[in-house]
Amino acid sequence: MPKYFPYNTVNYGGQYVPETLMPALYELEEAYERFKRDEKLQTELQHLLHEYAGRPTPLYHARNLSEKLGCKIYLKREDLLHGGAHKTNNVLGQALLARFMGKTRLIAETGAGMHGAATAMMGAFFNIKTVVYMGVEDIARQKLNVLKMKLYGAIVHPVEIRAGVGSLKDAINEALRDWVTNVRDTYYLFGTVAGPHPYPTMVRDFQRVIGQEIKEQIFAHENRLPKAVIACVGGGSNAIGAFYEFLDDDVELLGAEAGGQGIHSGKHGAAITAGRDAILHGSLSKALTDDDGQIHEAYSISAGLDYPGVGPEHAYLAETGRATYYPVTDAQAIDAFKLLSKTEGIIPALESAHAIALAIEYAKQCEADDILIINVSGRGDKDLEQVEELI
Amino acid sequence: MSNVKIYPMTLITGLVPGYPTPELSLETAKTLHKSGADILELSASFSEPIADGPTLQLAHQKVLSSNFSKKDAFALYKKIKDETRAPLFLIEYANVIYQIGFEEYYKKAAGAGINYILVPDAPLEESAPFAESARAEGIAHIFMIAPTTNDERIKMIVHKAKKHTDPFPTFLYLVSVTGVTGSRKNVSDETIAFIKRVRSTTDIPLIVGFGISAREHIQALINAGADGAVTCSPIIDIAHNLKEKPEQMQNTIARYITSLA
Repeated sequence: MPKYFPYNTVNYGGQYVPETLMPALYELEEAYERFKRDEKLQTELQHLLHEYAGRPTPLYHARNLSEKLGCKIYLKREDLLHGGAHKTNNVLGQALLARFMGKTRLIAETGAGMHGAATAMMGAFFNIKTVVYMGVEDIARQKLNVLKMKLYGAIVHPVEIRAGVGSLKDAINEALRDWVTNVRDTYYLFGTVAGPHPYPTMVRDFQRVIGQEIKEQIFAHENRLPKAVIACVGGGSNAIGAFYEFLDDDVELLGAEAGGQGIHSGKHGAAITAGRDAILHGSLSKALTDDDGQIHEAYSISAGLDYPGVGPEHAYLAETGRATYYPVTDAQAIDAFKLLSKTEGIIPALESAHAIALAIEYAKQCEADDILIINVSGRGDKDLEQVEELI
Repeated sequence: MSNVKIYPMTLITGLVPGYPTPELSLETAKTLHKSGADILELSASFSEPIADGPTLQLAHQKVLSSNFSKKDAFALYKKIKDETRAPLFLIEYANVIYQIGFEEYYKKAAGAGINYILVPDAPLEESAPFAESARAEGIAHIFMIAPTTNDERIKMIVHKAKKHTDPFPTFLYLVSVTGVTGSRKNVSDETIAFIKRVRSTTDIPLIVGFGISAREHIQALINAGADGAVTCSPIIDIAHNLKEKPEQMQNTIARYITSLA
């Protein structure tokens, strides 16, 4: 497994963690290599993805939206996956791995609560004690997922770095501190394609199924490749999952970052568009940082994109030009959220609404016959309370 | 480069530069040095201090919200050096060095009188640019060893660290327990066994940190073969509790350090 995604003189990725965790990362990598080759475990994973999680998810030709946007729009319905988002692909894989490694405790960080709820779901399913770290700001705006986690039997640990402040990056810091302390029996079930090696590669492997299915399904529908695949990017797991199968094809790969209140406002989470090469949470990638190396607080209406960093493979894809990333503002995302709900009767997560908003923009330059695939990474029930006054 | 004699027991005492204020942290440095500290540890502030417990997190937060910049920090290190002439041991997270630029950063550190630098989130695998840039400026890059580090890995770390024994004095920083910085009640048998395990592989001085706050702790570490100890969080706690009473703060810190030596 490659530890770095090298571009010019920069080795994106790597393992920037305290020495205490290094042996655990080697143990994880070694176990994952065995896990990949273990036919019985792979069969079990496939079975669970199919029977428990509901894969494959549909690739749906959204005719109403297509008509509105003037090209062929297909939606990859990860929102229909059990748990309500693509996160289930990753947690099923990693929870099986944790069991295989004999770990007796799961920890996770969460922003929007989707990964936390998905991990808690696994804790319930595999009967493993689970602790989820979540920023106080996110706990306030994602009550539904907090309730789910509690119902699954997980402990939700609020993270507050100063009065009223605490989001995804702080939750990751706290989860890392827990892992440093309890490294021998605890499995850190990381939620995205960031973090130290092997997480970016491993989580990508578990999410690749999205793109693999898209490819098969679009050939079944249209017998040709799409013009573009579009996904939202926080840490970037649903995007890398959707993109990876198309890396060698003539298909545009477009990532929608959290533009928040606009790049110039300084209130956003656009690590690629507005960030620079930086070391954060175990890897060298892109992040929002100042000249002194301090990490900025990110901002987004969507908790899942409210993160100042991004996975190292995205930094690599951005630098090589293979994928292109655009900021999408809160306002654009809300419009897209409403549009999809009203045209198709599908309520996307606010995160996924960023991808839809980018598709709306991109469609302006498309021909009627062009195919755009949007990864609807999750469903929007969790966001209804938050956007109540905007509807 | 001052030559530090790490014998028979080296006491490293920590502070967070800029906390509670730049002036008070300078006073604290002077107090620590006068009270018997051999080396002053400067725990530089970073917004994402993943290796630090609540005491240091809080101090880092306060320092950053006071707009204390890295430029201010280097100026303060220089003042501490000028006023104490003590060997200075700086802890800096990787992204700070990365953003300022390796060459530039270590040049500034050397100019401010820093003798040792440890980067808590740059393990052996990522250490090369840090260690090489440090070496070029006459600064010793300090490697960490943790209780989870196996013998084979200890050998690799010792091998790298040895590159710094000549011409620089160096030491290995042993993390006493799996976990983050902060006070703990006692020194466990596991910590003792860990020190003995590392001691058997090298004669490089071993300095033990994390959780040390009493003379008995240090005695137990020395008996196990360590050459010294680091204490930091208790000093920050005193500074925090007495931040409105600077004189009492310094007296209490002095008493604490004297009680360890």
